[in-house]
Amino acid sequence: MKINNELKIGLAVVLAGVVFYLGIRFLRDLPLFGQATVYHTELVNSNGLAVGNAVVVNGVGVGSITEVRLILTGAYITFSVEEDVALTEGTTASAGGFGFVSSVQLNLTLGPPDAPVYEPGSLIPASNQSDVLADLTDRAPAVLGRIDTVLTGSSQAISAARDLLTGPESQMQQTLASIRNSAGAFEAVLLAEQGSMQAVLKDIEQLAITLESFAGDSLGGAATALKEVLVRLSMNLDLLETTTVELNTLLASINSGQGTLGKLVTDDSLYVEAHAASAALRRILENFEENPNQYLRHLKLIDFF
Amino acid sequence: MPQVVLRVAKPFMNIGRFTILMSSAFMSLRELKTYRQNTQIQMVRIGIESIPIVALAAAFSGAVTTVQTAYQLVSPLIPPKIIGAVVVPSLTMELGAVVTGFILSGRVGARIAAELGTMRVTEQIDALEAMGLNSIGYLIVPRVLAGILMVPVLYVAACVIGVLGGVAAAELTGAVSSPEFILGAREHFDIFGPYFGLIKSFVFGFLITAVSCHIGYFTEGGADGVGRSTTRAAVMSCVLILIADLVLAILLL
Amino acid sequence: MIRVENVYKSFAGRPVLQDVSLTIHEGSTQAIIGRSGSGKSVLMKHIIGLLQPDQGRVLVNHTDIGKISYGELRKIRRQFGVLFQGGALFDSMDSFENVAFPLRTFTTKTDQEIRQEVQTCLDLVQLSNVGSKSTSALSGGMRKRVALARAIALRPRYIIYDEPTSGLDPETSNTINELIKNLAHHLEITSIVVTHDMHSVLQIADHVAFIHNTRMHWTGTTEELHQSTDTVLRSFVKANEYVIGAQH
Ligand SMILES: Nc1ncnc2c1ncn2[C@@H]1O[C@H](COP(=O)(O)OP(=O)(O)O)[C@@H](O)[C@H]1O
Ligand SMILES: [Mg+2]
Repeated sequence: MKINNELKIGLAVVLAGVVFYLGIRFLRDLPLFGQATVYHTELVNSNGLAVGNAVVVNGVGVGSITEVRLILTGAYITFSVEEDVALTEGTTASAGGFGFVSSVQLNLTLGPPDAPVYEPGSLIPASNQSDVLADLTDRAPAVLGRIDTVLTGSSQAISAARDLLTGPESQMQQTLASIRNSAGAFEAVLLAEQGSMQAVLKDIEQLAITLESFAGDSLGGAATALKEVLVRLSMNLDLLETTTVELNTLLASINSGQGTLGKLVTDDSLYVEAHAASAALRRILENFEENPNQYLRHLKLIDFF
Repeated sequence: MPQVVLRVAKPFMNIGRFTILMSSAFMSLRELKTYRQNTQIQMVRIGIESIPIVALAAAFSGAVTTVQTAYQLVSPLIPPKIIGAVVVPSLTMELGAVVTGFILSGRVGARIAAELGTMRVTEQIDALEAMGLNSIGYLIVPRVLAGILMVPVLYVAACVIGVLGGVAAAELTGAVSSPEFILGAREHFDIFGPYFGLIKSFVFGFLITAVSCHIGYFTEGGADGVGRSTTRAAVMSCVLILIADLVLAILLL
Repeated sequence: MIRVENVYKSFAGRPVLQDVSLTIHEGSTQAIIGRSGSGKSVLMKHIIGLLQPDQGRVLVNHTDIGKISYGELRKIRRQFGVLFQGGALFDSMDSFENVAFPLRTFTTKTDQEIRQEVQTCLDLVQLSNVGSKSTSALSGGMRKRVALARAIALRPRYIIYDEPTSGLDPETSNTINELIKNLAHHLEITSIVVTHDMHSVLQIADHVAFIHNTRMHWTGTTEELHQSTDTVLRSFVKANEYVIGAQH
C-alpha cells in the first residue's frame, strides 16, 4: 500500500514533468531531445516577435525564439535553431509576418552554402527589411528569371525569323511571300514586341529612379513602389511571351510553305521593312542578353536591401 | 454585537480565521515528517484518483473547443490551421487549469469538506487534538500540500489529453488535419501559455484544498452542517477559481 | 491536580459557564453531572484546552494552560486520555489502527511492540477480536470500548470520560462502569467522568460536581451527595433514580 502510493505519485509527478518539458519543446518546434544551437540577432524593429515564435528558413520552421530583449538600438533577439541547419556567413535575419493569420516569425535568409558556418552564439546580422521588402526579395528573383527565359525565347524566335529571311533566294522568296501574306500580323507583332520591350525598359528605368530617390526616404514607400513596378514588369513579360508564341507560329507557317509566293516577289519593301524591324529588335535583345546587368542592375539592387 | 454589525463582520471574520488557519498550517510544516504518510494518501486521493475524470473532462473540452472554433471559422481567407492555434492556447492558458479546477471543486473540495466536517461533528478533530496532535498539521497540511503538488500534475495531463481530444475531433469532423492543427499550434505558440496555466493550477490547487479544508474544519451542527459544508466547499472553490482566474489574468497578462 | 478557577464561557453571547470552579485531586474519580446541555462537555473541553475560557483559568499541575505555547499545551495533553461522547473513532482506520494510532504517532515502538501493546489495551477493555473490524461495523458499546482502549494506549495520567454510558443498554453500561473502575484501580489513573447517569456516578465516583444554570451548583464527595438537602440537586438525583431502581 505504502510503496504502491509512493510509486503512483512518483510516476505521476515524473511523467507530468517530462510531458510538460517535451510538450513545450514540441510546440516550440524544437528537437524533443538533444541540443539546439543558439544564435543572436539585433533587429531595429522586432515587429512584435515574442519568446516562442518560430524561426523560419525558406518557409520551413527550424527553431524558435528564446529571448527578446529591448536594447537602445532596437531589439536583441536570442533564438535557437535545429542542429542540422547550418547558418553560413552571409545569413541574415529579419522579422516577418503580420498579426494573427500569419504569425510573427524570424526569417533567416541563409548565406551561400559553401561559406563558413557561423559559430554557435554568433550575432547574425539583420537584413533590415520590412515585411513588404521581405515579400519583394521572394519575388524579384522569380521575375528576373522570367525576364531571362522570355527574352531568350523571343530572341530565338527572332533569330529563326532572321535566318529564314537571310537564307537562300528561293527560300527567301517563299518567306517574303509568306510574310507579305500576313504582313499586318507580323508588323503588329513586331510593334507590340518593341512596345513591350520599351515598357520593360521604361519600368526598369522608373525603378532605378525610384530607388535613387528613396534614399533617406521612407523605406516602406519605396518598397511599395518597387513592388508595383515588379507587378507591371510581370504583366509586360506576359505580353512578350504571347508575342513570342505568335511569332513562332508565324515562322512555323512560313516554314511549312503556306502563303502566296507571287505577292511577295512583287513587293520587296516589305522584306526590307521586316528585316529592319527584326534587326532593331534583335539588337535590343542581343544587347540585353550580352549585357543584362545594364538593364537589370537596378533590379538586382533589391537583393542588397 | 448588533445583528447587522455581525453580518458585515462575518466575511472578515471568515477571512481572518482562514488566514490564521493557513498560517497555523504553514507553521506546522516543520512537523511534516509526522504527516508524511498522510500527505501521500492525500496525493493519491486528490491527484491520482482524479486523473480519469479530469482526463475525460479535458478530452471533451479539447474536442468541443475544436469543433466550435471550426464552426466559427467561416471566412475562406482564414486557413484551418488556425484551429490549432486557437485550441492549444485555449487549453494551456485557460481550459486545462479551469476545467481541472472545476472538476476538483466537486470531486476534491466536496470530499475534503465532508471528511473534515464529519471529523469535526463526530469530535474526531477534538480527539486528535486531545491526543496532543496538531490537527491542522495532521489534517490540513497534507491536503493543501497534495493540492498544490498534484493539481499541476493534473493540469499537465488535462492539457495533453485536451490537445489529443482536439486533434481527434479535428480529424473526425474533417475540420483540419492533425499536421495542420499542430502546424497552427506551433506557429502561434507562446511559451508563456503553459507556464501561465501551471501557475494557475498551483493557485487553484491551493485554493480548492485550502478553502475546503477551512470550511470542513469549522463545520458546525451535526450531519446537517456537514451537508452544508460540502455544498459550500464545492461552490466556494468554483467561485474562487473564477475570481483567481481573472485576477491572475489581470496580473500576469 | 487539575484546578478550574472562575471560568466564564459563552457562545455567541449566550453564557454556558459562569464562574465555574473545580479542583480535581490526583488519584480521585471526579464526576461532573448536570442536565443535558448544561455545559458539562464544554467544561471538560476547557480542561484539555480544546476551548479557552472567556475569563478565569485552568491549571494542570499548577500550569496555566491558557498561558503556554501550543507546543507546551500539546505536551500536557499527552498526559490525558479522552473518551469522547460518540467515541470519536477515526473512521479512516480500522479498530486496531485506531488503538495503534497514538502509539505510532507518539512512540518509537516497533510494529511488533505496537501489536502487543494494542492487544493489551483491547484485552483491558475486554475486546480481543475486533482488531481488523471497520469502526462502522461496531456496536455502540464496542465503539466506546475501542475508544477507551485508544484513550489508555499511552498510559495517561488523567482520563476523561464524556458520557461513557449514554445510549447504551443497562448491561453494557454496567460493563463500562466496571471497566472505568478497574482502570482507575489498575492504572492508578485520575478519572473525570462527565455524565448525567446517576447510576454511573454512584458506582464509580468518589467526588461529584453538579453544574446547574451555567454555574457550579454543588461540589462534594459521593457520601455528601447522599446527605445533601439541596433541592435542585435532590430533584436531579431523583429524576435519575428510576435508573438506579431498575438496576437494583
Ligand atoms: N462550539 C460550540 N459553539 C456554540 N455553542 C456550543 C459549542 N459547544 C457547546 N455549545 C453550547 O453549549 C451548551 C452546552 O453544551 P454541552 O457542554 O455540550 O452540554 P452537555 O452538558 O450536554 O455536555 C449547549 O447549549 C451547546 O449548544
Ligand atoms: Mg456533552
